[in-house]
Amino acid sequence: MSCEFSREHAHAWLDGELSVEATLEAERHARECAACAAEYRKAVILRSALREGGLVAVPPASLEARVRARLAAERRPPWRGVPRWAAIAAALVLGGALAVLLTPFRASLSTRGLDEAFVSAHVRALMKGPLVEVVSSDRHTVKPWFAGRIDLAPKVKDLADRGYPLSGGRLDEVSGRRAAALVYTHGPHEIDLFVWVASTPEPAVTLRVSRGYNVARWTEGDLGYAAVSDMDESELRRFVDLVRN
Amino acid sequence: MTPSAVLWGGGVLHDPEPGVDFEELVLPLLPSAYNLARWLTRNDHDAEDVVQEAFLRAYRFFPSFRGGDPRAWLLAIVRNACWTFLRANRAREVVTALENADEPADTAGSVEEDLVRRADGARLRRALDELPGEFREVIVLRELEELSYREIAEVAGVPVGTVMSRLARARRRLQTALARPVAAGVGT
Repeated sequence: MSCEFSREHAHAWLDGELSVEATLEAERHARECAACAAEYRKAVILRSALREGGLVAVPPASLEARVRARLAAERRPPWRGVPRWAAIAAALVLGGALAVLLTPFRASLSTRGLDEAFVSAHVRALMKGPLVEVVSSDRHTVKPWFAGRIDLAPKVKDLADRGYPLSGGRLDEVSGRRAAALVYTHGPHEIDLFVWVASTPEPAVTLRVSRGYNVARWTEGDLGYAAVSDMDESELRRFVDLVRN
Repeated sequence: MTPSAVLWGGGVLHDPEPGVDFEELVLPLLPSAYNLARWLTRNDHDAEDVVQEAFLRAYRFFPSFRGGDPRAWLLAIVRNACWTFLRANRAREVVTALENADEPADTAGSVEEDLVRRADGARLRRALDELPGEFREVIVLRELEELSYREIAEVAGVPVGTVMSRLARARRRLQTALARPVAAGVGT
């Protein structure tokens, strides 16, 4: 076979991906070039074999009902993820402590914006990728990868034996700040652990729900940490405890 | 106001309105989602788990869906969920096979063509199952789901040119596998 150019071309032709002119050109070419004609013919044979081979996997009838049930559960307001302090705060509101309330309210607006930004970064990575730029379950590979890429050295822990294997890391940007993102998994769930240089210390862990995702944030020294995942609040708490200790 | 709010008349994630649209637009694509998940995980039960997870994710992401064909959008999420699952549960399988040299599959004879033509379902299924993941997914998306190169590129997160070359190589690998004479004594 000498005609390297049309090897892929023959496939694009078969797949209807060529323009009208290019299709005519390909037809003309195939009349002269036996190799391309064979490539095309073989792909046609393969296609009909695949399409007539009964290969399409059919879901069990019960699957749709199970998907619907999970969606219905998702549609219920996610109260279970709201921490207790929120309930206390709500009680304070009802108590009419308006003056006390206004300042924390403003503060919570800005922190909510930050949670939202972390969730956006997490969702963006999940959908568009790359979720991981350095693929490794070895913390001695992941940690050095960040050196020279970002002005901080994140703490990278190996939590595989606790059920949270490391799958890698990437650089991300959250609210205009560069952040190191360490990616862990837990069963089917992805966990992003963002690390950035924090401006104000908030060592206590806060846990909030944003767009259905659980977000846990805290600081250690001058580094801020945020863990974002769609797993249960209790599982995320456990993960955060493991990361902190 | 966010773009999604414009799109969905100010609706937010948990409003009933998008829920209705999601059910009309996305839920009917369950068979396609399952087909892809089944071929990527190569296991019925895993495929069911992954599909449920993927629909949950799709539901959460739905406000960011910008219209167009929801199938490529959903299948991208299913594909991602599959690879996440495989990475977490069967890390050994997630080995990239793209570096391997292509077999020079110029077995142009009519004998080989006949073997491909006469391959039965079981033989085709095994050949497809044995294909590395990157090749398997383009074959499933193109030949079984009949997506365009552009849609496959969107689902697999690679450029259109990569889709084209991957598909050509995947077909060659399948042809080679199917044209291999059935060895005597090996169960078929």
